[in-house]
Amino acid sequence: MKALRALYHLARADFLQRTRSYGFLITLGMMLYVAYVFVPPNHSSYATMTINGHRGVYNSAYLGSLMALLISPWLSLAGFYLVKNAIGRDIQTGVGQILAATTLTKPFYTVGKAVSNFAVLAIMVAVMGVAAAVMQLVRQEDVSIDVVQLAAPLIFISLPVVAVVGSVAILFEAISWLRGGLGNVVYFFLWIGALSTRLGGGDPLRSPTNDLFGMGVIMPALAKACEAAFPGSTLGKASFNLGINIKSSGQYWDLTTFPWHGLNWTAEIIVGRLWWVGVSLGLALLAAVFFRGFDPARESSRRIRKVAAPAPQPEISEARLVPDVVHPATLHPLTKPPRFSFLFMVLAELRLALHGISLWWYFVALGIIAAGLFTPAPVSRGFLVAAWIWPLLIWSKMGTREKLLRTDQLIFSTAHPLRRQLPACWLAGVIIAILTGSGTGLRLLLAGDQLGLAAWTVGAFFIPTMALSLGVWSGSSKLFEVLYLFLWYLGPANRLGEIDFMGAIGPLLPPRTPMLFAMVTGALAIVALAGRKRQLTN
Amino acid sequence: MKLSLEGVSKLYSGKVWALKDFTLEVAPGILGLLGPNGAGKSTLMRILATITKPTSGAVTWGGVNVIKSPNRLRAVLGYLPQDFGVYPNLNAVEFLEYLAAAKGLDRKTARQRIRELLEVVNLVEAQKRPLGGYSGGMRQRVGIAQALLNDPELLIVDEPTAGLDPEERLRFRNLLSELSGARIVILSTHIVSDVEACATSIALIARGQLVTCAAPEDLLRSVEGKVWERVVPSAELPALRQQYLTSSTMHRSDGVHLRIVADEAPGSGAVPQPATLEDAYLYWISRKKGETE
Repeated sequence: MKALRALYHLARADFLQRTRSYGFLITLGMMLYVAYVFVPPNHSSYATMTINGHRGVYNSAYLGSLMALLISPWLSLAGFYLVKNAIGRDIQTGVGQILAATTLTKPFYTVGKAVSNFAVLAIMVAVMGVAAAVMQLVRQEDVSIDVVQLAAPLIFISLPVVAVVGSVAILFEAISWLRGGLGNVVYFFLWIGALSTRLGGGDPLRSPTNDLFGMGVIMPALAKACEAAFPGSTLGKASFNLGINIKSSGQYWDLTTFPWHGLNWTAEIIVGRLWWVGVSLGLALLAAVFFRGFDPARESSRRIRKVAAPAPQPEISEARLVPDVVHPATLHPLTKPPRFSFLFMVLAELRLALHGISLWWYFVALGIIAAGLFTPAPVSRGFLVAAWIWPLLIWSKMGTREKLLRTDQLIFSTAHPLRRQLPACWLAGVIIAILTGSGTGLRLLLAGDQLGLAAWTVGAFFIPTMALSLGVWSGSSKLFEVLYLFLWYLGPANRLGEIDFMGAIGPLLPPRTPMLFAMVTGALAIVALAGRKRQLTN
Repeated sequence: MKLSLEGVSKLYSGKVWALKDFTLEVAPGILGLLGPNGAGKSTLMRILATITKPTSGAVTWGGVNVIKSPNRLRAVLGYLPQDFGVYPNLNAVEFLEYLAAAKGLDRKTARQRIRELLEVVNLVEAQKRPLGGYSGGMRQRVGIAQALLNDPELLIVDEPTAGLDPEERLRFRNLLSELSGARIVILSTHIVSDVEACATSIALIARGQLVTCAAPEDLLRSVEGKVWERVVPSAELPALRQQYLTSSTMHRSDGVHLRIVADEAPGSGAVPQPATLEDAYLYWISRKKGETE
C-alpha cells in the first residue's frame, strides 16, 4: 500500500510538472485542431478514412473509431517525443539525486515515470474524444451521442498504444546511449518500421498480439458494414485509405456513407488489447534493468570518456590545485581594445558544434562526400540524402545550447549577440551542410545541372536555418530532430518532389520547390532572429 | 565612467516586485551589494548586465541609456552570473576561447589573456580537462576568468565566492582589490566578510529596495553605541532573542554571551561593544523589515 502510494505520488508530481505549462496547453490546442481536420465535411478536397470509396456516417461509433485509428499512429510518434524527458528532467533539475537518496527502487521509479507518461498522453486521447463528440454535432449527420460507442475505441485502442509509447520512452531514457538525439533518430526509424510491418499496417486479420494499433479489431467490422450497405463493394477485399488523402487541385471527394453502429467489445477483444498494457508494464520494468541511477560521477565520467580525452592522467584534486601560499594574483591590462572578428567567432562556433565528434563520424562523412563526387549524378543525389541526415545531431543543437547548458547569461551579455553570435552559429551550420554535401555539390557543378545546384544551395541554407529557428524557439533539439527527419523521409528519401528541399529527385524536381524552400528559409531566418531577440529582451 | 540607476523597478508575473524604485549612483571602486536571500540582488545584477529589462526606470552608463542601447555597456562589461552553465565537452581553454571570440578579442590577444587568467584563477593544471568533470569551485573559477576576458570597465559579479574554498576566496578578494581602481566592480553577496574585505562602498538592499548606501566606515559609524554584549543563563536565551536583535551567541562557562544590536542598552549588565559590519547589516536590514511590516 505504501509502495503504491509512493508510485502514485511519483507519477502525480511528474504529471503536474508537465501539464502545468503553456507548451502542454498549446499541444492540447493543436490536438483540437487536428480533431477538426480529421472529420472533413462531405465534398471536401481531402478524406481521412475511405473504404473502397465509401465512409461511415459520422455517428458516435464511427467517429470514435476514426479518431482511435488516426491518432494512435500519430500519438505513437509525436507522443514519444513529447514525453521522452521524464528521466532527463530529473537529471537536469537535480531532483533525481534527491530521489536516489530515498528508498524508492529503480523498478518503481521507471514504472512511476511510465505511468506519468501514460497520463499525459491519455489526456490527449481524452481531448480527442471530446473533440469527436463536438465534431459529431458540428457535422450534423447523426446528432445522437452514444458515449459508450464513442469512448470505447479510444479506451481500448488508443490507450494501450499510448501506454506502450510511454514505456518505450522510459526505456529509451534508461538506456544512456538512446537518451539523446540518437535515440530520437532510432525511434523514428522503429516507428516507420512498425507502421510498415504487421505491427502497424498491412493485414487486418492478424493476431491481437501483433496488432498494436488495433487495425485488426475495427477494420474488418467496418468492411463488413460497408459490404452490407453496398453489396459487392469490397468484393471480399476491402481497400482502406487511412490518413490525409488529398485530391488533386480542383477535385473533391464525394464519399457515399454507410451506417455503422460500432463494435461488440467482447472479452476476447478486450483481453487482446490488455496484452499491450502488459507489454507496456514489461517495458517499464525492463527500463529499470538498464537504468543506472542518478550518480553525476557516472554521468560525467561517461562524458569525459566520450570526449577525445588526453592520455590518462592522475585525478587532480582541488586541494592540489591550490598553492600552499596564497599570493595576490596579477593580471595585466589589455594592450589594445577588443575588436570583433566575425571569422574568429564563426570558427569558434564551428569548433563548438564539432567538438566531441568521434573520428569515425568524420570517416563516414568523408566516405559520403567521396561517393557523392565519384558516382554519376543520379546515384550521387542518393548520397546527398545520406550526407544531409548524417550531421542531424550536430544541427539539432543549434540555438539550443545557450539555454540548455545555461550559458545564455554569459553570451547574451556580450556586445551585439544578435548580430554576432547568432549569425556565426548559423553560418557554422551552413558550412557543415556545404562540407558534408560538397561531393554531390561538385558533381552537380561539373554536370552543369543548374536546377540541381539551385536545389542543393537552397538545401544547404534551409537545413541549418530550420535547425536554428526551431532550436531557438523550442529550446530543445528534439523538435528539429523529429520534424526534419519527417520532412527528410517524406521528401528526399521518398522522392516526393513537392517537399524535396535538396533536389534528390533529380530532373523531375518541380522548379517551384527550391523557390518555395528559399522563401521558407528566409522566413525561418526571420523567425530565428525574432526568437533570439525575444530571449535577449526577456 | 559612471553607472546610474534611476527609479528602477522590476515586476515579475504582474504581481511580485523584485525591485522597487531603486536609485543609485556607482563610481569607480568596489561596490558591495549586500542583502538577504530574495532581496532582489540577482535581479538588479541581471538588469545591470543588460540581461533583464526593468519594468520601469532608467540605467545609464556614461550618460548612455543602456536599456535602449545595451551594446554600449556590453562592450565593456564583465559579468559573472550567480547561476551559469558551461559546455561540458570543452576544456577551460576552449570554452574561454569561445567566449573571447564573442567578446571581440582577436585570437592572439585571447590566447595571451586566457593563459594569464588561468594562472590568476589557478586552473593551469586542469586547463585541458573537460569542464564537465570540474567541481563546483573550479567551474566558478572558470566563470571568474570569463568575466575578466575583455578587461572590463564594469565588472559585475553575483555571489562570486559561492563554492570556493577559503584560500580561493581570499585569492579572489585580493584579485578584486587589485582590479578596482579606475573601473567599477559590483560585488553582490550575502556574505558580509567578502564585502568587508574589499568593498569601498556598500549598498544594502532588502525587499527590492535600497536600504542605504555608504562607505564601510560610515556604516560602522551608523551603529556605533548600538552594539552590546550581555551574559545570561541559557534559559533566558529564547526570551532575549525574541525581544532583541541578536547578531551572535556564544556558550561559555559563565553563561551565554549574547551580542545584541539595539538603540538602547538591552537591560542591566549590557556592555557596549565596538561595531562590526555584520552588526550594521543586521541593524539596517531589520530596520527596513520593521518599516515594511
